[in-house]
Amino acid sequence: MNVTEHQLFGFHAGGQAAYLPLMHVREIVRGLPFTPLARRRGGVCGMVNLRGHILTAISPCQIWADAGVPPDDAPWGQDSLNMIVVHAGTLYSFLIDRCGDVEMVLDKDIEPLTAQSGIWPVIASGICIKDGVASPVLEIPALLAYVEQDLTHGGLHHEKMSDC
Amino acid sequence: MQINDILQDFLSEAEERFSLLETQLIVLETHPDNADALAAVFRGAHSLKGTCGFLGFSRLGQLAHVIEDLLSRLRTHEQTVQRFHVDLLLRALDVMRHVTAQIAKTQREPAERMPAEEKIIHALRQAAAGHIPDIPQEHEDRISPSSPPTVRVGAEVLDNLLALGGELALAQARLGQTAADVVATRHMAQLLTDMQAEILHARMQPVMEAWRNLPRMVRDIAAAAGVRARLETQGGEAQLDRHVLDIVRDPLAHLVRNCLSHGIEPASVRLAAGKPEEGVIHIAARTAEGRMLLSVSDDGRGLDFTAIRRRAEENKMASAADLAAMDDAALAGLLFHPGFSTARQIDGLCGRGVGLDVVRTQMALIGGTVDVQTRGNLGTVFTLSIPLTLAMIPAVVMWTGQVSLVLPRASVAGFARLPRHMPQVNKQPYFMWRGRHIPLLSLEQDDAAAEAQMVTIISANGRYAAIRMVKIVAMPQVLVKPLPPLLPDRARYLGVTILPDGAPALILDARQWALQHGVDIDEEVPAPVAPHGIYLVFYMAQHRCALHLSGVRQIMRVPAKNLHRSREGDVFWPQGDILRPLCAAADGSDKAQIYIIQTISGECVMCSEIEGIHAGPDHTSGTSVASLILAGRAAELVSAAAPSSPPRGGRVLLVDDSEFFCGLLTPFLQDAGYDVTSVPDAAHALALCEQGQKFALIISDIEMPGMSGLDFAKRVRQNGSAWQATPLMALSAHATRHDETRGRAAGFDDFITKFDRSGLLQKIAELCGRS
Repeated sequence: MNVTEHQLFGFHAGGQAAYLPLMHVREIVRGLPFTPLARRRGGVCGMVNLRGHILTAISPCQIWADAGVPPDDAPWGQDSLNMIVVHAGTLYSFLIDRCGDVEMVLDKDIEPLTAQSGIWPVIASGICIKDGVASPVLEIPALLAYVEQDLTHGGLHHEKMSDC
Repeated sequence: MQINDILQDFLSEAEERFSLLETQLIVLETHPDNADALAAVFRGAHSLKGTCGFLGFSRLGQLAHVIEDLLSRLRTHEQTVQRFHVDLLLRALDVMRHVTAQIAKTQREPAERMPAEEKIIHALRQAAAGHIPDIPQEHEDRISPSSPPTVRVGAEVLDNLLALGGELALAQARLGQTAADVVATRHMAQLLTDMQAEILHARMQPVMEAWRNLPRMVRDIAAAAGVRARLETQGGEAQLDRHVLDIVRDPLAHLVRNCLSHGIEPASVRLAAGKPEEGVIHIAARTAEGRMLLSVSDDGRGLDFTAIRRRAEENKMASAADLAAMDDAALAGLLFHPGFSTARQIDGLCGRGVGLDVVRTQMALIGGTVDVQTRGNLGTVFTLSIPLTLAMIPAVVMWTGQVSLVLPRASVAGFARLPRHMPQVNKQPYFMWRGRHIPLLSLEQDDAAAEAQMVTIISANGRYAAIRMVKIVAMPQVLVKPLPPLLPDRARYLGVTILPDGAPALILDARQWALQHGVDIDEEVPAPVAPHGIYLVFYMAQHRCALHLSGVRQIMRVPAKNLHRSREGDVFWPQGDILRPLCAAADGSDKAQIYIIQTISGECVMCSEIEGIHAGPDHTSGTSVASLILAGRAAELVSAAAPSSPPRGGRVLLVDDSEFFCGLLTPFLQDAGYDVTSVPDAAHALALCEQGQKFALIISDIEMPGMSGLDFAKRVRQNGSAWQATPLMALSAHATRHDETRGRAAGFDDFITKFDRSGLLQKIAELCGRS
């Protein structure tokens, strides 16, 4: 039987710990010039300037809110930690509170999510439990698709989530 | 140069030559005696053969060789150019394209020759021998012309970049020696700006690149569809970013195909309709309002609205009643729905309803739009409106209270202070500007921007709208970049830029943004709320009166008991410590609350009841002389006109070469009570001096063409000058201490930066007072 090893990058945003595959993380930068959006929707909260490249800034806290995690009122912006994430050749900035560790985990360490887990089955592949703390393992393509769906349909998926 | 680079260069050059050869062959088809076209085709084939031989592509080289053989016979008049020659040569180019596509995939020429190659070589040889060959059918998987994989940059642009790089290195060295050298810093900044512009220039391509393959397509499709048509183009030298150009290519091809399949009639039908036998498809490019407008028009039959209605009903897109009620524009909009086609049968050209859907989808990718206009039996025009991304544009950066927002300067008509009260029509506030009412539109963050005291007037095609803002931050040249993904409301923005502090800022597409608020400022027809013909109807005692809306400054509701009446019966309204006289009917009002309408001339009119706002005939002249029929009843017209008061602040001369800046500052100063004369340069100003004109204050820019502001100040201050004692203020985009010292030495009394509006008024008042 094949055993797959996963390299996960841990981080905290809005008091919630989460992982994402290390291959998606390009770099961590603090203090990028940030411009908020007048209308924040679907976790998209503004834009940052990464050395002349303008990236969409995504606030995971806003997405957590759909998962029932109380929204964090801490202001994000100029002093936020930017986790630069790459997907399909495009860079995004995730505004996070702090970085965690890089973990090497096996398939068996990632537990499946149940339909009752709110938004998590939509944006995460499972739950990784380390030191007694359960953290979702985010799937970047699914998470970005979720954000896009929210922008396009204005919360249509929320109804779907409540159905399941 | 790496092998891969050489291969890329070859593929780019080959594709360019194929396109050139196709274009010239089509010219030859129409003008077989055109020796220049024949020579160009021969040279192209010859060059291809040489390059293929050098790179060891023997199959391509042999094809080019037999093409050259045939062309040689034509060039030496052993044979005359006939249509089959053109067909054959075009087919040979298709085969060559197929081979280069294989080379692009595998980086080598396949060893096995395709059957199509054998056939075309045989046919070319037969033709060269003077026979009429069977022309091989089109290859099943014909390769569409592709955009070259590299950007070709003019040598001049590279030379400029190189020179700028050298200059930057020198400037950096100077900065290292004298860190406080302001001149070196400015020089460096200028070099960086120039370099940025050159690099941008390197990305830009002439828009004709997007249609370079279309003449061949028109020829082939017209023949297949049984119509006669030619393609004309205009404005191809306009520059477009390479990325945008690639996206526009397909929509253009779809629109041209649409013209051929639905627009251009068969020759017999055209002749019967009194049209030339050959139809014309016209592609034109032009820039306007920070956008590239690409139009594709034909002189065909126009849109068939009956067929559109019928097909929409069949497809259950709307009910028959709804369709009957739709106007032409709404019906034309149905054409862009996926799967919609008026064609009865699906063939290779049309019928699947894909083409126009692709056009709209592709345009949306780059924040563009597509519009269609048609006239029965005269033709149809499709217009693609594309934002000019990756370009340097003059812009205005404004602070809205929460974020900095950028507007292309081409969209900005002016700035003004926000009045406390504004008339409303259907809950839409209207802002009075230069004698016309324009809608005041809100950004989302307006709720939080309580301090917004100003408005920016945006315009397109003579139509206006206003946006609230707090202040103007700067008026720089900005680099337009494409929007990053996932931003909401993408259609509102032209792109994004980076401000001097490094923060990204959205560039508003004024036209699109106004459109989303239901205001089409790009529409040429007058707005429903025209500057004339909208009246406020109210009652003065029992009289029904009307006041033209353009004359209304504000309407207040006040307790009637607050009013004062003199013995003579005059009514006064206490406003602070002042008793303002009211224009009131003799019997006054017996209501607890009354309305006071303040007109733009400062008069206050008392009324007992406001009926509402009604449209009516234009009648703005005269003073209370006419009665109008409004909403079916008569109303006495009250005029807001009052004798214009003389400017309070005195006469000011503004010397600035920026027409845009004069256009902004003049109304601002006029609002503040100054009589402003503006001239574009020092020479014009000195001419006014010689004419003996007097001013309370002269405001001059420093950097001006011809005589600089400093030299102008010296001339003003020299002995014998009539303006020797006139206060003189310098106005500059960025004034340093060094500039001030030099300015004062030249004769300026004071200095102020262009964006310090409140400081400007204060200093002007001080200097005029001194005068």
